[in-house]
Amino acid sequence: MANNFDKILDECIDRINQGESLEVCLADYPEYVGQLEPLLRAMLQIQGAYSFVPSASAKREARQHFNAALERLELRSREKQPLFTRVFARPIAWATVATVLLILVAGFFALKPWLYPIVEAKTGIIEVRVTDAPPEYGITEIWVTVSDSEEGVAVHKAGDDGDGVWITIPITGDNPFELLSLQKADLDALLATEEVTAGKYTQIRMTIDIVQVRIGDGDLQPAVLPSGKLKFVRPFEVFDGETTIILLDFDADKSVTVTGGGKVIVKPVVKLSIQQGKQ
Amino acid sequence: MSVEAGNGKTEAKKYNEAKLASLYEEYYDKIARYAYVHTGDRTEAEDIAGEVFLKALESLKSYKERGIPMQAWLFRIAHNLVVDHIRKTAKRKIVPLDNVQIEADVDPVTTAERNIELERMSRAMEQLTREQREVLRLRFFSGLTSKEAGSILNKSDGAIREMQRAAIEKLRGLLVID
Repeated sequence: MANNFDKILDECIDRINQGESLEVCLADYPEYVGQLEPLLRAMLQIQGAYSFVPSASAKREARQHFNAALERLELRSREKQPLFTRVFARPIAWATVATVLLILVAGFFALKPWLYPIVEAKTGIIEVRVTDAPPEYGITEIWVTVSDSEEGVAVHKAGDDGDGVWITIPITGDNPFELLSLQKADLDALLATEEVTAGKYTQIRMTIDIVQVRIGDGDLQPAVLPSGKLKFVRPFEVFDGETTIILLDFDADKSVTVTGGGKVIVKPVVKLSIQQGKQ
Repeated sequence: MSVEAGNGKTEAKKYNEAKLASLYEEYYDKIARYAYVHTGDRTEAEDIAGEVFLKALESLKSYKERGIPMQAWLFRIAHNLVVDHIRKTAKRKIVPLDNVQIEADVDPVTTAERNIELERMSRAMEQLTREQREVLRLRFFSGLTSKEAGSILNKSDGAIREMQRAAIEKLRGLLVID
């Protein structure tokens, strides 16, 4: 009898792990509901406490390392060939190397003038840009609305007396903006820009008011946003006559969670990088 | 697959490499969840999951000789890496500031409640036997079948089913789940 119950419990655990609901499983075993339901509900509570979905970006990166290791193994196990044959057996690899070298050389000469400011000015430009990494859950659109108050996008300028001042960067780009279109096109988008006093800055702040997502072809639905306040303590400098780009890379995969009940929760996970000294 | 010298050995090696690659999509997530339950750290769990496949690739030669299902062998590697990680958790990791991913300020009440629940769950899990904990980790968090869990733990399907029932009943009593 116990053995039979254990098998039924085991089967229900398998079915729930595969996405079936507890109710459907219980309906198949009405004579065991009294024993089965408390244990399955306990299982769901235990699972819920440790819920974790690995990020697609981490998985993708690990896959790249794995593929690279696999390729190294294959290279080692290849039979020895004359040097000439080995070197010129992979024309595509050589074409890639040549292309990369060309880009690096061209890039060096293109950037060279930017290293030396040619205009004496007391101000520089700050550009705040956004980009994205792809999400899971079949999410097809993520619309982000940044607050248009003075706390929407702001930077903190260090003061001589240690206090400093917050400077609002007006939103000049699309607001709301759709994150996944950036990811698909491998772009970033200008969100806010302002000419500010050159000097040292210490923090960046952004306040997100609303996030709406679309799953598949469904309707756009509001996401639960426990907190939309992002703050980065990251020193950077604005140089005379130059543009400093603050790039906010939203990791949609880590930021968005869809619960079993279909509720979408967004806790923004954002990677910050700063490109200084562009003209 | 029989292993013989010369071309047979090469084919067996290629077969195992291909099989390992084919398991990646499904088992990366399962192994990451398994590691997360042990470590409580999402990033470490993802790193461990990636490391498992790299180590498996390096050790494919030794796998051939043991004759256990490759899935089970991956989880044994995962277990060893998790144990290594736990030993090293006191060591502080310094990350360049440019690469820090900073989460938005979350509701402190939600965070506190979640931490309390996790703490409560962890303490209750400690009251189980080591084998019961492993059964739950493999069945509940990694989503393996009883048969797969049994091959990892060297237990029969029946023993796994019995352990999981006993573990859930005990946890239910400890956590006072309705």
